[in-house]
Amino acid sequence: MVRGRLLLFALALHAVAAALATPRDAAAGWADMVQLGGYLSSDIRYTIDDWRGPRGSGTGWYMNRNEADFRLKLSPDPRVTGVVETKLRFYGFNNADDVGDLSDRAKVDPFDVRLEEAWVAVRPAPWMDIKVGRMIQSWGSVDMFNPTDNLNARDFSDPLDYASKVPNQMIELDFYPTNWLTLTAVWVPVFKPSMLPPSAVMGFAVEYDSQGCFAAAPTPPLGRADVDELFGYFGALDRCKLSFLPTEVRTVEPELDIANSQAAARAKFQIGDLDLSLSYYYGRFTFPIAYTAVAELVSDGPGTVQGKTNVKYQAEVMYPRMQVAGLDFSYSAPWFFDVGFVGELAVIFPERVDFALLAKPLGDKVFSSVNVPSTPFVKASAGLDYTFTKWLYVNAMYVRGFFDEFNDRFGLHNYTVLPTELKFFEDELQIRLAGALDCNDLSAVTYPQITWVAAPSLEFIAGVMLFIGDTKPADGFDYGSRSKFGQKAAGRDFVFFKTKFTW
Amino acid sequence: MKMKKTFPILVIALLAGCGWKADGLERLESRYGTDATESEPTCPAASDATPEASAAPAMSGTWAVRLVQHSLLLGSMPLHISDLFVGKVAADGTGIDLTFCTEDSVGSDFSSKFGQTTMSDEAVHGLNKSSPVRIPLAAGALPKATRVAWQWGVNLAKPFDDALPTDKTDPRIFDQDGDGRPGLTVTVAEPAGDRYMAKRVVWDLADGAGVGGDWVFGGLAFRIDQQVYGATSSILETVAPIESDPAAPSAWQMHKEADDLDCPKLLAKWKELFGCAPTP
Repeated sequence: MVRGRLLLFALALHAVAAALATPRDAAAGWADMVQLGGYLSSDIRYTIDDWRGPRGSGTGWYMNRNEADFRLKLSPDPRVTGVVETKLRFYGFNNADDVGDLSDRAKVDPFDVRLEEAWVAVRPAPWMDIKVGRMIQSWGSVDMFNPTDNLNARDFSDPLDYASKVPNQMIELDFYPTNWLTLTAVWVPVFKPSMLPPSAVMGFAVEYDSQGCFAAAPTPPLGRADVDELFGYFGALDRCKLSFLPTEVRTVEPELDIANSQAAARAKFQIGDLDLSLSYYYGRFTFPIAYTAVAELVSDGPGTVQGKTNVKYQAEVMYPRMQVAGLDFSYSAPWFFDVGFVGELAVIFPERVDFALLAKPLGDKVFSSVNVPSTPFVKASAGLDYTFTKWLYVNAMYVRGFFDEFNDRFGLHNYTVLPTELKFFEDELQIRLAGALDCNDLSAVTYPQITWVAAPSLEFIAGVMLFIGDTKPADGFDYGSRSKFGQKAAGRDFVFFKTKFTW
Repeated sequence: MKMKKTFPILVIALLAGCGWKADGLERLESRYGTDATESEPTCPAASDATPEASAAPAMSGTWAVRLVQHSLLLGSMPLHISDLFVGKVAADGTGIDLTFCTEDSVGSDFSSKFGQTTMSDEAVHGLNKSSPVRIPLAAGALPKATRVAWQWGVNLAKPFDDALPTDKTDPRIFDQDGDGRPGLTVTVAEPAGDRYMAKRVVWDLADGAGVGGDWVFGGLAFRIDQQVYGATSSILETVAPIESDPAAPSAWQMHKEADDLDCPKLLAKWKELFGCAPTP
């Protein structure tokens, strides 16, 4: 009887213990399975130049953005992982154009939702991973300037966030035949182009002088004689009677065909302090290349000015195919003050692009010229970084071929990049001096900033972005004489203030 | 062994990209097409020439006359101007009087309407009435080197040398086609519109030669001056210089015709006729 009571008591105790214990164990299990991350940010910017935008657009608010990022990583099983990252972005500028729009919250307070990542990975065997979904790949060893990293297009819509990429749907297979070798194969069914900064349209803008007379038009990628002839015609006209409609630039997208898929493979070796990768990519260059243009005279229609000679210019850009054979490495030299060396080399086999311009006012005359030759070319980057003291970090890089350069008539330029970080007060105050210098035309972009880490997850950042160089080409008849960072298409000068809270 | 097989495959895969080409010209042609070009007339081969190939025809009766001026518009754009006339040799043989029929102008390397002009019947009539053209002859012989000035919408005291008036109220400017506009009105196909202008062309005809019994021809040098006094489109107010194209010799060409040749008949057949005309 007593034994029976003890048994009942034990059972009850176990039940209570189980009842008490189960939620706690389950919570612990979920905590292992779920990881939450993300950030909140506030970003306000003010343009400080009145010469880099369209004529008449002076200083003013350039950005007033608030953003909430949520990242969820779920691993219900050790062999399975799923990731979702979404971003809610409010732009902070009223887009309501009329009274009717004032009842539309999306107009008064425009926003968008971005799905940055959404993929699932499974490990069917210890030597293999399969990953499917929307993701962002980062190949290469050098900081930022990775000519072997071509699977995802770049997102340059925010000039300060130049590391951003356009996510894409893909399938990735990883194999681990040994502990020093990783083989990766990726297939991307559908091509996506890079996003450009808002200033990119200035690359096609016509310039007028203070009297409103035509001053200059963008130089097409043609030979010197053709440009002479073309501009000679406009030069013979009365500049003050010329009016150009806003340039229409269309993109020629690849067809949704399996032949336009992208594929890449990589073998990554880890040998001691050396990481070495050999890679191959088949796909397209994600930045637009000038393809065709049509200039015509129009007498009426939207944008035309009575009493003036109205010129309409339509251009097309395209994304040439390419194959890329790549090599990259990173090496930390313990025998040389622990300096880190990185290097990356990409041999690019491009699709030849012939540019053609139809000048209707010249009697349907067609000018044509090779814009991108089929000759293989090299893009490369190399650098080293070193922490001199706990408060001074320097990274020096050489870059041949900027992100958007493809050996067209603009050519491939050489750059030096020298980001330097100074940290004070236990890293609470950070000063970052960053920028890039184009060694060919001596233009530059610089964005010094100061960061106050108010709490481990809270930063306040203030800085300025400046573009240095001629806004006008050195030779108005030469497509390649535009100043890389000086041209208006590069962007506006602005000051910024950001707040970021990370969780 | 495995490496030996892999390497060629890799090389072939890489080289496969070398054949890629995106041709903007093809793209434009597919989007905009090209106007159908008229077929070139079939000219008789040298062996088909008549036995009298070297004989010069007698300068009498009626002639189809073309002065073809290969020129450069704005210094670089080829423009071929053909002034077409019906020529009647004067009874005394001292000259050939030309009745103007039309002026045809076309670009060379494109199906162009740029620079093409037409004019009204009144303008043609006005030119024939007040700006007649006569090429002197030496008693029925082939034309010798001579210089002729032809004025449109203007009456210069020294037609070879005087500059064209710049002021449309200048008394030397006259409404030659009677449309109430200064000078002569020509209609431009592209850029489209009417242009009120004066023009002076000076032709230097070289000595003539005969061929095939019915043809006489010779080299031609020319100078064209224009002045605009108004237009329906501002772009047409720009005077686009027209110069002789040194790479394409110009010529005067005459073909012996039946006496009933008139402008309508000439205009109906001139392209075929002069497509086979001899050139210097």
